[in-house]
Amino acid sequence: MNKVITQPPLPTESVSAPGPSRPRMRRRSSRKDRISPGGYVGRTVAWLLVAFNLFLLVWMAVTSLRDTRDIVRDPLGVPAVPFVENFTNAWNTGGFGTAAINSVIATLVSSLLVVAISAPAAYVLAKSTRKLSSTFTLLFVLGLGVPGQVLLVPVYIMMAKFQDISHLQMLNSIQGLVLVLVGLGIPFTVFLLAGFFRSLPVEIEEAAAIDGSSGIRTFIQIVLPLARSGLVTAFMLAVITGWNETLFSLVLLTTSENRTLPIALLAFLDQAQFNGADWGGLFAGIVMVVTPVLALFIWLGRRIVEGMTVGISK
Amino acid sequence: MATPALPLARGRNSGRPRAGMSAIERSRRRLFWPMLMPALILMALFYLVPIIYAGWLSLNEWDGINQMTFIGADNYVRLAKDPVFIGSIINTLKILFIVGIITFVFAFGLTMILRDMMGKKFVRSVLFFPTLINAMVFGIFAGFLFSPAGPVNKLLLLVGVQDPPKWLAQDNLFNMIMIVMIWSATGYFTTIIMSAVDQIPAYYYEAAGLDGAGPWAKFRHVTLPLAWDVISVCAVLWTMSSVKVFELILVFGGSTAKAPPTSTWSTALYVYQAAFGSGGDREFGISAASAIVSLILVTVLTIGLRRMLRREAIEI
Amino acid sequence: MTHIKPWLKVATGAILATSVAFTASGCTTTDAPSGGDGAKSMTYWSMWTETEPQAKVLKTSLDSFEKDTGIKVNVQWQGRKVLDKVTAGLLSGDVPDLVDQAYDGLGPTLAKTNQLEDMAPVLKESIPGEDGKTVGDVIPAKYIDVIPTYGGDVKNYMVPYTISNVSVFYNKTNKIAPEAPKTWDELLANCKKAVDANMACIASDGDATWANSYWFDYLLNRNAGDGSFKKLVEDKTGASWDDPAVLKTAEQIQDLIKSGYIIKGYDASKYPEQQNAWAADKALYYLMGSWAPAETQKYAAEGFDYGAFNFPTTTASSTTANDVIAFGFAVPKAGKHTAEAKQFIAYFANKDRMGQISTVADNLSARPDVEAPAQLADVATILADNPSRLPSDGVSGDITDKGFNASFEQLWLGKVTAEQYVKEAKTAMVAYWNAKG
Repeated sequence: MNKVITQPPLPTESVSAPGPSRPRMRRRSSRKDRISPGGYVGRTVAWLLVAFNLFLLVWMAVTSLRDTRDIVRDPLGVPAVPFVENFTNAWNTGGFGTAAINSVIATLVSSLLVVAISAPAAYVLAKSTRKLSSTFTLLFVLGLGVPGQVLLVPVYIMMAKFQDISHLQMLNSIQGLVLVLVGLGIPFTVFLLAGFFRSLPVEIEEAAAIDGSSGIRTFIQIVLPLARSGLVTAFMLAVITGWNETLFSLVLLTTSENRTLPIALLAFLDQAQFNGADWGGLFAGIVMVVTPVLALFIWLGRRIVEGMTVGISK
Repeated sequence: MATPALPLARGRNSGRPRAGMSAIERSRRRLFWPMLMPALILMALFYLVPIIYAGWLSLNEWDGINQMTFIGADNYVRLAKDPVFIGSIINTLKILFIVGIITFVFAFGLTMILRDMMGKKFVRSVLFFPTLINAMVFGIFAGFLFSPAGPVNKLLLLVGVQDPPKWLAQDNLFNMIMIVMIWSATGYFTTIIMSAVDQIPAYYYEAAGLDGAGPWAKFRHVTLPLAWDVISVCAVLWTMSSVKVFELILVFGGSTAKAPPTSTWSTALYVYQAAFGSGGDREFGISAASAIVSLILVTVLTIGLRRMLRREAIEI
Repeated sequence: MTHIKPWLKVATGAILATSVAFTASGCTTTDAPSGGDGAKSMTYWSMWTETEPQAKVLKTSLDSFEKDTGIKVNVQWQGRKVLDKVTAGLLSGDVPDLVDQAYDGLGPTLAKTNQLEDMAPVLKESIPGEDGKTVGDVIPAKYIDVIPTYGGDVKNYMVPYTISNVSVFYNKTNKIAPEAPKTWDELLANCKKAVDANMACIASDGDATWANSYWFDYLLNRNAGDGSFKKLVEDKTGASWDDPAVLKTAEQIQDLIKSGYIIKGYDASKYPEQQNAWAADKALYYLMGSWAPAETQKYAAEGFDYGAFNFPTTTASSTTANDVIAFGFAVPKAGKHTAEAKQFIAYFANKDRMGQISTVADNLSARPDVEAPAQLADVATILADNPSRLPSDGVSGDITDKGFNASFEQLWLGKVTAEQYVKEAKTAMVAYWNAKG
């Protein structure tokens, strides 16, 4: 957990979108000279906030290693001996093990698919001069604004009907969730990638075309490698969205062998009725939900931040 | 809905296409449909069709099992009369405006503070992080930290507060939810606004400084107007995300396996409860109708906000 | 549009590729495990999670059932929200042959729309291994008769196997008031003793309105008789709220709050915070379902001895009816192996098998001739000695969630007086029914 501290400055220096870069003016320089009294107050507040956020992470980790009885007696205590059973219990009997595996599969497969499907679309939308392309771009952008709950009931019913017709398990199955995650992720991924493709220099493609390479080959061999950082960012963001998805998973996934982590966490809360709450196990589950995202953020923080703010700061 | 942030058809002018259509252009044309199709089909399947279907469902009464009956606008009439639904709309608006405005003020404050602060990237990263976590986690944390015998009250007792506020009391619950939202959203918007502010050339500030402008004046006359576009985009983003708030409320107010108190419901909660709530009655029609209302809400609000913010931008 | 062909080719290619990716990743189909090899089989979707003791009990019986009858049971441990899955299954034709849940789950979701088989024949079925005794002989009729039909056509749509009730729990080893009160006045007197001894009298979590409303429901039942709660909240005109018994009930609750008998901080806590405080001897009484001991034993103070008493009477003529919450099996009509499912229900009713609900899972089984677990001995006595009723007279779902609860919360948290409450609740319920159309 302390890695956050020892390995800090995620270089989020230029969160500007990788658009056609305008001359960037820096005002690094000599503005450190005077700090007003208000400035000190502000800084204190900022650092207090930081301290609080870090405290939450540490507290979460520590609590996940404590016995439930202890936690209830003193929520802020530190265990004398780490109570690792929370994790083994949560993993084996609490259903978090299966859920973690399901979450990883659903997230990775859906993220790969959504990027694979969105990239070509984003490319033609970014580069095409057809009038139609701006209509379609608008369509995808509109999709961004549709709240998930609007789609919840219809998508659920459609999945049920599709299952009826195809005999492919759609409700209560990871493949069904993957399909939904891919479908729902399209607008954002297309929107994001279109921004990246737009920023790529045209010259290289033109050179390739003159060399006689076909459109698809240009796209796969030249454009995609160039846009690699954009693709990775899109993939990361799809991973984070997929990892956290709750509303649709809650409705679609039901049996314990098909739950993802957020749903396992909810089911764990439900179980408290009749058989008592197991706070230790619950915190172990929370750690499982949070840690992968934390690791991703420490590793690729800059890209994630850029991706989530791209196109906005222009 | 408005088209934020997306520089439509930028770079190349779609004004006069034919004239110099190169080989590359032609091959792109050929690839247009095949490359676009899969995404477009999914878009139709997961957005267009469901929205139309939701519209149809909202005119029917259906429990998912028996025959569907067409009842016209009755569902909407029922919603208009349902105090819980009205409450959920009010809560959503509270999230949009109260949480939104406070978050923006904080985000701007932090931007100003962080401008020339040591370790600003680190601070920004730490504050950004909550955006990436499933909000459910915070709901569980809050229940724990703010319980009557919990850590927060224990700390307050150390400072001499004998009678701490009733954090999780029923009529306080929604306020707590809003506070948690402000806390988790501030980092995200700070990051966006900072990146915009970072692009404001330094000489504007220097010039303002020469004119004798203090920090507030600089903020008012340089930062704010120059970052206005980003702010209006942020406002649209916030509108969209505020209508979706779900996990946090589901877990925050809810005790085990029961629905959270109706006083905390947002429109997303209402939609979910009407269709899949643990009460038993499955009312897909009502659920679809409330979903349609929230779609209309987000559309109207987005357009309205865009209009409003655009006008103000000119006034400055 | 001269190049329709190539794009069509590529587009179908892309879609095919996606679906191949799906299939390759081990596509599951709905028609997989129905045991088409001629062997008899059935599916069971359970309200328990695989690791819970109740699931272990059921698993033992399912295994021996397969051995004894050759019927293979495909079981899915769905957890508490199992009925959501069943209704989803009805939508897509994927329905289990056997499910279990409480009556207030099975009733409104399935029985109401006539999705469940009639269980009356099963009650006449003889239990394997219990020479001649039928299911109906061993499960008391009062548990079954009390279950409402929710407007469906079938009266007996479930066969209970475990019974919970709602009663007041306390620590029998407490020094303040070891005697269980019989009347409301005795309870108040004990509360006074507790408060004088610096102990809270009643534990409650402010956010658990479903549990706090047990107080109102029981008090009204004692004041105005059986069925009064149902009559009250289902009265579309609101006139029932003018009954003086309602005001009296509200005043009795107001009295609890004003006298400071409810544990400090209850209005700011989240379930099960104060429930645990009660188990740690911070409060004397706790009105709760009989799952309270199982939920709290991890947190219980040393030497805590779980006792329970029936909700006190308020007048000499008060009923002593006790809340029964039956959990049991039901058979969806749409299932393909309903006969096998019914066979299992009778099989499980055997004393040795259903008895494990008590001996292994520490719950009360639906058979009174099975000895209750020690923690629930008092509960078993209460159930045996008193007539049965349902919590909230069987009213649940929207009426309470969206109608009754919000204004009751105000009363319970001491925000409004009894008079104000009656007025506001009346308005709220009328508005609720009005919106319901």
